[in-house]
Order: sequence, then C-alpha cells, then structure tokens
Amino acid sequence: MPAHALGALDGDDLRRVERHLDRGCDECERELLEATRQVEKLAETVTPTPPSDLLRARLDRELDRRQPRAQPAWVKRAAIVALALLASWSLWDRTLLREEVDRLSADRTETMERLAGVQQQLDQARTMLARLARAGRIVSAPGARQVVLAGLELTPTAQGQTFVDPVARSAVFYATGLPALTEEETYQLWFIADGTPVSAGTFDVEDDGSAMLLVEATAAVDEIQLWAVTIEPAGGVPQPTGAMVLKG
Amino acid sequence: MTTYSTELEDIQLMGRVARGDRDAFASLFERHAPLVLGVLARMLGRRDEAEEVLQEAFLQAWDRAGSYDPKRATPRGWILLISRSRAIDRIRSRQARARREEAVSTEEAWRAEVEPVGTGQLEANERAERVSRALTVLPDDQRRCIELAFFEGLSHSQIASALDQPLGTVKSRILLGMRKLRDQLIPAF
Repeated sequence: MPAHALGALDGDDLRRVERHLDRGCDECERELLEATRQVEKLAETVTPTPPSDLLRARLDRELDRRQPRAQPAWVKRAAIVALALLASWSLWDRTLLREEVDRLSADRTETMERLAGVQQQLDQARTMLARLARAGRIVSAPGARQVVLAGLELTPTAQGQTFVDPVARSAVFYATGLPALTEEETYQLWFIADGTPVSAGTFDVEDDGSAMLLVEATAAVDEIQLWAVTIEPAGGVPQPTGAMVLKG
Repeated sequence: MTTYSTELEDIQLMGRVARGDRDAFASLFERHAPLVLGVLARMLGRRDEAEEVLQEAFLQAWDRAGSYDPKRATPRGWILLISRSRAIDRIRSRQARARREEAVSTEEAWRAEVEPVGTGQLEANERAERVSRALTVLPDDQRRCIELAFFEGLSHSQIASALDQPLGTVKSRILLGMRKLRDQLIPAF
C-alpha cells in the first residue's frame, strides 16, 4: 500500500493491488489511508505555491460548462463514514460531532413525534373498537329492551334508539339526523324513572349527524318510563333545561 | 499541516462538491491547491505545466467527487493522488519521447527535464532543504528511492533501472523507508 500511495506501482503489481482493493479489503483500505497520509506529509515538505488568478478564472469557466448533478449514494452514508473515521481517531472534532448528534437528535425527535401520532390514532381506534364491542354485547344481551326515539319539532328527521341490558343495567344509544351544535352547546340523554329525569350523559354528533353513547348505569329496565335528548349548555346540566329534540 | 478536524471538514466539503456545490469546491481549492501546486511544480519543474495539471486534476476531482471513498484516502490525499497521477503521466510521456529522441541515458533524460526552472520563484533551495530535513531519518538508499517515486514520479521498475539496482531491492527500500517515515512524520495523537 505505501508503494501504491506513492504511485510507484506499475504493470502487474498495480493491477493486482487495484483488483484486490476493488474486491474490498478493510485492512488494506486502512493501510492505504495511512499511507496516503504519509504521502501528504511528504507533500508538506514542499513550499506551497499559490495558484495564479488566471488558473482560477480558467477553472471557473470550465465549471460553468458542466451540468449540475444528482447526489451520489456515498454522500448519504458520509455521516456514518465520518463517525467511523472519528472512532479510529484520538482527536475528536467536537463541533462537527455535535452537528451530527444534533441532526440525529432532530431525526429521532421527528420519528418519536410521528410514532406518537400513530400511537394516538391506534389508541383512538382501540377505544372505538372496545365501545362497539360493548355496544354489541348490550344489543345482543338476553332480554335487551329496545326503545325508539322520534325527532321532535326542531329535528323532525332525527331518529334514535336505546337498547338496555336488563341484567347489567347498561344501555347503548344510537341517533341519526341530528344537526351539529355550537361549541357552547351539547346534546344530553335522559331517562325518566319514577317521574324524575336522570342524566345518562352528554354526546356530540359526527359530521354525518350520527351519534353513539354508552350508558353504564341505568335504572331497572321496567322503571324507565321515557328516554329523551335535550340541547343543553356545554358540559351538561343536572336537570334538563333546553329544547327536547328526541323522545321515546 | 492538516489536522483530523480539518480532514473531517474536508470530507464534508467533498460531500457538498459531489452535490455540485461550487462554494465547497472553491473552499477545497483554496485549502489545498497551493500545496498540490508546489508538489506539481517540484515534479514537473515548470510552473505553467504544473498549473495545467492542477487545473486538470481539480476538474477531475469535481467530475469524480461522487466516486471519492473516504475509507481509502483523505480528500487532500485523494486530490494529491489525482494530481500526481496526471503529473506522472506527463513525466512518463516525456521519458517515452526522450527515448524516441535517443537521449544519452534514461536517467539523464528525465533528470534533465524535471530539474526545476525559475529557482527564484519556486525557492528550490529552501524546498530541497526542507525535504532533506524531513527525510534525514532515512538511510540514503531508502530516501533516494522515495524521492524518485514521489517527486519524479518513477515506478519501482524505473527506479530500479535508474539506480541500476534489482527490482526487489527497490521495493523493499521503499517499503522500509515509508514505514520509517510513518514513525517519524506522523505525530502521535
């Protein structure tokens, strides 16, 4: 390798070394790199000669004639190679290393943010799936009681249904055709038992006007006299105050 | 003198050159052209010819920056390799021409052509002294072989012929000399 770095090889020797390097040999590549550094040291024994302005101008003209090109593959690996080189050196350039670390940190942050977004979507999907499974169990529970709610004056095309599991005393409510409300308002589901309205929870509607609400605790199925939906202030109220839109 | 941090910066510059960044190329040129030109002038003995080779070499570096492999050479070493390779081509072409013109002897022919001209401009004496200082650690026979290879661009076989020594002897002198130089010239970090 020293002779190759010096340019002293020719003929068969040169071809043999080049073939060997082309096949890939880490040890010889390291040796060649060291030999190249030695050759640089030899070069440093020569007095530097500043290039003329004429030469600079000629170079500029030649470069102007050349076409722009795409990024080669090795550049994408340059950071890794640079780090590998660093590992073999005792003297570290902290500034350059910090740049690499910052870049990798930025990549990591971006990846973590994307992962968090995906995780959030996954959590939402899991929650929805669990709610649907729960709703399915209520609807298919033995003796489940179905009640149909009809739209009133404000929402004549709206419809609703509740299914109550008589054993678990839980219910699921579905509605369609409900208009979207302002941010200051919410829909609130009630059941009337023993003449008293009890809140079964608040809900928002999807873009298509549909809604679903799981009710964890209801009165005994036979005690429920009525289901109703009213429009209330955001957050809901203890007793109904607003307009009724569904009843059944 | 280059440092490893300079070398890393050079590698980054090479990456930008490979993407077609003219500013990065200009930086590499300003950093290394004077040293490379000094070597070329020493090899070729003529400033105008050295500048021609320097231009060709840097244009080749621009064109082939994408094939540069930082595992095999530092950017400066790579540019030096390209430049010396082109200078060696010219020297060998001269030798062939000299042989055709039936010069007195092979050694005299190339020696006559590569002797520096314009010594005032190129400060040949001072240069020779610096070279000599750096190479004084070597036995004369090893130093001579390395000088012939590096500054005159001679191959193993040409050195053997010029010095009238067996090829194997020349090879081992260069190998031993380079190992000794490595120990002397590369500082411990």
